[in-house]
Amino acid sequence: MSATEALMRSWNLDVIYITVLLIAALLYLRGWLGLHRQRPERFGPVNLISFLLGELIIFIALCSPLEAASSMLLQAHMGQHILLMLIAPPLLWIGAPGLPLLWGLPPFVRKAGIGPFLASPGVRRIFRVLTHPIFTFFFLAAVLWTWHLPWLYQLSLTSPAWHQFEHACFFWAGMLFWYPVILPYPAQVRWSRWLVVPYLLLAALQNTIFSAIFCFSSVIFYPYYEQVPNAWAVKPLDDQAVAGGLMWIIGSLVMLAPVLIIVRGLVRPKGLTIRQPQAVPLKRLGLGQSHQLPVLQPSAQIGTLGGSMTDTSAIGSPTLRRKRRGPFDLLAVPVVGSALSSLVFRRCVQATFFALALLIMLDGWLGPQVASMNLAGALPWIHWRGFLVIALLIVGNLFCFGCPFVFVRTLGRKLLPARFNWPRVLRSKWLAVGLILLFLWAYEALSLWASPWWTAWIVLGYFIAALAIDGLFRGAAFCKYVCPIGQFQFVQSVVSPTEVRVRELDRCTSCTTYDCIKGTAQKNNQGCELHLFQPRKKSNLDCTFCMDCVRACPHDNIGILATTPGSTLLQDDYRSSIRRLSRRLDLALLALVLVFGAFANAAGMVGPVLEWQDQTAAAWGMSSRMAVVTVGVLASCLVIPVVLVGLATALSQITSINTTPMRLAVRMIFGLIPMGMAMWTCHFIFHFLTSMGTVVPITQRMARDVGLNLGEPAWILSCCQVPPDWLLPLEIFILAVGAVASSYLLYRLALRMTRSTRDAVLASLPWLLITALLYLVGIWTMLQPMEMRGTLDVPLL
Amino acid sequence: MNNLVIHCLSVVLLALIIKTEAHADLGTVRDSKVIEGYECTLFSAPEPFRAGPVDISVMVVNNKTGQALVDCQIDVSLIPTFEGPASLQAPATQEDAQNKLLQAALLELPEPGQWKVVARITGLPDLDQAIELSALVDAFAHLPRWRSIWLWLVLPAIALIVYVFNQICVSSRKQRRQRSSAEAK
Ligand code: SF4
Ligand code: SF4
Repeated sequence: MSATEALMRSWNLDVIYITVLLIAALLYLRGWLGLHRQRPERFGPVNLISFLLGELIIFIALCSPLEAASSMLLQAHMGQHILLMLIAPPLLWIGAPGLPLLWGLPPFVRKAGIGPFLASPGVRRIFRVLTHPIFTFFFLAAVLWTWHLPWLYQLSLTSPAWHQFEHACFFWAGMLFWYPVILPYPAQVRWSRWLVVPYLLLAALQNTIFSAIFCFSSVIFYPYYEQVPNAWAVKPLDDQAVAGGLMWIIGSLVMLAPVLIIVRGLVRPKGLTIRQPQAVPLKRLGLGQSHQLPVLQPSAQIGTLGGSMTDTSAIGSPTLRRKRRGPFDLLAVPVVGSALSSLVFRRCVQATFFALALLIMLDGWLGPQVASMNLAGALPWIHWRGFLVIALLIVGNLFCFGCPFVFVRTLGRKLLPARFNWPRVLRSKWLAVGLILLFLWAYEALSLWASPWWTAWIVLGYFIAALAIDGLFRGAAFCKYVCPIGQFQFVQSVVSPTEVRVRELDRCTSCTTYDCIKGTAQKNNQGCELHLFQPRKKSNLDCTFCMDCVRACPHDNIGILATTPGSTLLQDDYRSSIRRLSRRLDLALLALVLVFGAFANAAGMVGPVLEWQDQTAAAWGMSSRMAVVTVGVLASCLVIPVVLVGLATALSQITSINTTPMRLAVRMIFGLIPMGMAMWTCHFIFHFLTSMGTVVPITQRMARDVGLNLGEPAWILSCCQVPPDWLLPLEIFILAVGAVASSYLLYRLALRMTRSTRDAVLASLPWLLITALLYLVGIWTMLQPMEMRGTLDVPLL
Repeated sequence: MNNLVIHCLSVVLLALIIKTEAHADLGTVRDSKVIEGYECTLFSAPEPFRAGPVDISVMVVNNKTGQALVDCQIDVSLIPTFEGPASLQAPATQEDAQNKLLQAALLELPEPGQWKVVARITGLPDLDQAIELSALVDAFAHLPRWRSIWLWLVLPAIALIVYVFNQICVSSRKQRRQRSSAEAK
C-alpha cells in the first residue's frame, strides 16, 4: 500500500468534533429555517451554505487524513492552521450565525439561560473589547508567532491535549480576527469601513514576514520532523519551505481579496452614506426587556461580506417572533404515535413481557442456580433495570405501558368481581413506602440478584398480588397504591422529558363528556383507572402511560407531550388525584426513601461496604450479615434521611419562610428526586453495559436444555467484562447532572417559599448540602471496586 | 422539537465524556533503524509515558519505493527491568492504529518503573532477517483515578458559578429597569 493510500484511510473520526459540528449545524439549521421564513432576504441560502461550508472546513482540518499527515509533514500541519484560522472563520461569520444559533435553542435556554448574559452591559463591554480591531489584530499575531516557537510547537506534536489546545487557539484567534472584517449581522459598525483596509494589509504584511522566515530559513525549526520517518521522501527543510509558501500564498490571497471587495463596495456612490446604527430591542428577540442589541441599517452594511444584508427593520418587528407551535408530541410521530395509542399494540407488548416473565420463572425454578447462567439472574437484574432507566430518561414510564402484571389482571378481571372500593385508609403511599423498604432490605439480605430461585418466586408473587388486588377492587388499586415498581416509576418519571397531557386546555373547557376520566361505553374504555383527570393532571405522578385516556378522549386532545424534566415539581397547585404536593407527606417519604435507597443500593455492591458489613457482623458475634444489612438499610434509607431532612428543615426555618415546617420539608424533598434518579441510572447502566452480553449464552443454554441447537453457550460473554474506559466519566457526568438539577430545583423551591433571594439562598443551603453529600457519596461509590454482578467469576470455556 | 434540541445538547456533553483515550498521533520517537532500505521507527504514547493504557506504534517505510508497509508481522513486548510484573506482549496491527501508516499495539502497563519496549518486525519483502527496535522507557505512576475525571467532578461547581453569574445578570437587569422607570417618572 502506498504511503498516500494508507494516509487517506487515516480519518480521525473523533466523536467530540463530529458531535459538536453536527449539533451546531442542527441548531443553525433550525434557527435559520425560522428566520428564513420571516426574512428570506436577510437569512438567505448564501448564509446557510457559507456556515455549513465553514463547518465542513473545520471537519476537514480536524478529522480528515490531514490530521494524521500533520504529525509527519509540517506543510500538512500548516495547512490545518490555515483552514482553522483563515478559511473556516470568515465562512462561519458570513453565515451570520449569532441569531440562527440563538433561534435554534429552546426558548427557555435562550431567554432564561443566555438572554441575561447577552443583555449584561459587562458581557457586552467584554465582547466589544474582544472584537476591537486592535485587539483582534494583535491577538492573531500573538497566537501565530507564539505557537510557532519551537519548544511550544514541539510540545503540541507530542501531546494530543496541547495539540487540541493549539488548534482551539488558532480557530478562536481567527474567529476574532475576521469579526471586524465580515461584521456578521447584526453587528454594529463602530469604525469607518475604510479602516478594514489597513487592518487587512497590515495582517497580510505580518503574514508575509512570518511566511518568509519559514521559506528562506536554512535552520530546521522543529527537529521532530527530522526524527519521524517521511514516507514521501520530502526533506525537512523543503517541507518547512513549502509550509511557509503555503501560508504566504493562501494567507495573502485570503487577506487581500476582502480588501478589494470592501473597497469596491465603499467607492460605490450609494455606499458612502452611513446611517446611524439602530438597535433591536432584545425583548423582541426573546432575550430580555429593555436592552438593545445594535444592528446595522442597510447602507451601513455596504462593504461588508455578510451575505444578503439589505434591510433589518423587520428583525425587531413582531412578525419575527416565533409563531407558537405546540411542544413535541410523541403521539403525533407517524407509526410510533399510532402504535403507542393502539390497544392491540399495548397488548402485544404486554404479552411479550408476560412470555419473558414465564421464561424467567421457569428458568429460575428449573435452571442452574448461578445468577449469570440463569435467565432469572440476568434478565430482571441487568437488562430490565437498564431498560427502566433508559426508557425513563428518553420517554417516560414505558414499563408500565407494557406491564405483564396488568396484562394478567386484565384477563383475570373477566372472571373476578372487581367491585369493591380500595379501603380509604390505604389510599396513600404509606403501604408502598413499607413495601419499597422491604424490597431494598430483601435485595441485600437475601441477595436477590444472586438467587434465580427467589427471583422467580418474586415474579410469581407479583402476578398473584396484582390479580388478587385488582380482581377484588375497582380501578387500578394495585398500580396506584401497592406496586413498588410502579411507585419507583411514578416518582422517577417526574424527571422524564415527556408526559401524557392535554394538547389544548381550551378544548377541555368546552368538553361536556369528560370521557378521559369517566370512560366511554362505545369504545369499551373505562377512562383513567388511576383517577387522573387530564385537564388537572400535572406531571407523570401516578400515570402508567396506559393510554386509556388517549383512546377515550373524543376530541383527540391528549398526547405524549414534551416537558421540561422536573419543572412540575416547582408548582404546588391542585393536581388531579394527587392534590397539592405540599400536603403529601406519604408521597414525599416515598421519594425520600427512593432517593437515599438509590445510594444505599449502589453502595451495597462495593468492596469496602461489603467488608465493613462482614467486620461489623463479626464484631457483633454473628455469622451472617443479615442483622447488619437490616440495620444498614433502615438507617440509610429511613433514619438518616429523616434526620437530615429534619435538620435541614430546622435550619431553613431561620430565614423568613412563608410556610409550615412540614410543607417546607415535603416540598424540598421532591427537589432531591433528580439526584436519586441519577444514582439509580448510574447503578443500573453500569450493570447493563458491563453484563448485557450475558443473555446470549443463557439463551443458548436454555435452548440446549429443551433440545434446540443455538450453538454452544458462549460463556465468555458473561465473564470478565472489563468496564469500558468511558463508563466512569459517564457515570460521574450523570451524577453531576443530577446534582445540578436537584440544586436548581431546591433553590427555585426555596425562592417560592421566601421573600428575597438572600432568604432563598439561606433556606436552600442545608438542602444543597444534602445534595452535595449525596453527590460525594455517589462519586465515592463509583470509584470503588464493584461487585461484577451478572458475570461469571471464572470463564467456563 | 425543543426537547430534541435538549437531547442533542445532552448528546454533546455525553460525547465529551465518552471520548475514549486519544490514540497516539505517532507519539514520541523511541528508536529508528534503516536496514536494506526499510526505515522502521518505534513510537510510544502517551507523553509522559505512564502506567495505564499505552500505545506502542511502529512505522515501516520502504525508502526505495515510498511504500508504507502496514501488514508486517510486528510483535511488541514490554519487559520490566525490575522485579515484579510479568512482560506484556501484543501484535501491532493497522486496525489498532489511528494513523493508518502505522501499526499499533494498545497495552495496559500495570506498574511504573523502567520498561524495555521491543518491537520485532518480520515478514518484510526480500528481507530474511527480522528487524528489532527497542528502547528503555521510564514509566511514571498511573494517574490517580480522580485526576482523569476531575473535570467531571467539578461540573456541578461550574454549573453553580454559571447560574450565580446568570442570576447576577438577571438582578442587575431588574435594577436597571427599575432605575430607568423611576427616571422616566
Ligand atoms: S381530555 Fe378529552 S375527554 Fe378529557 S376533558 Fe379534555 S377534551 Fe374532554
Ligand atoms: S393519565 Fe391515566 S389513563 Fe392516561 S395514560 Fe396516565 S394512567 Fe393511563
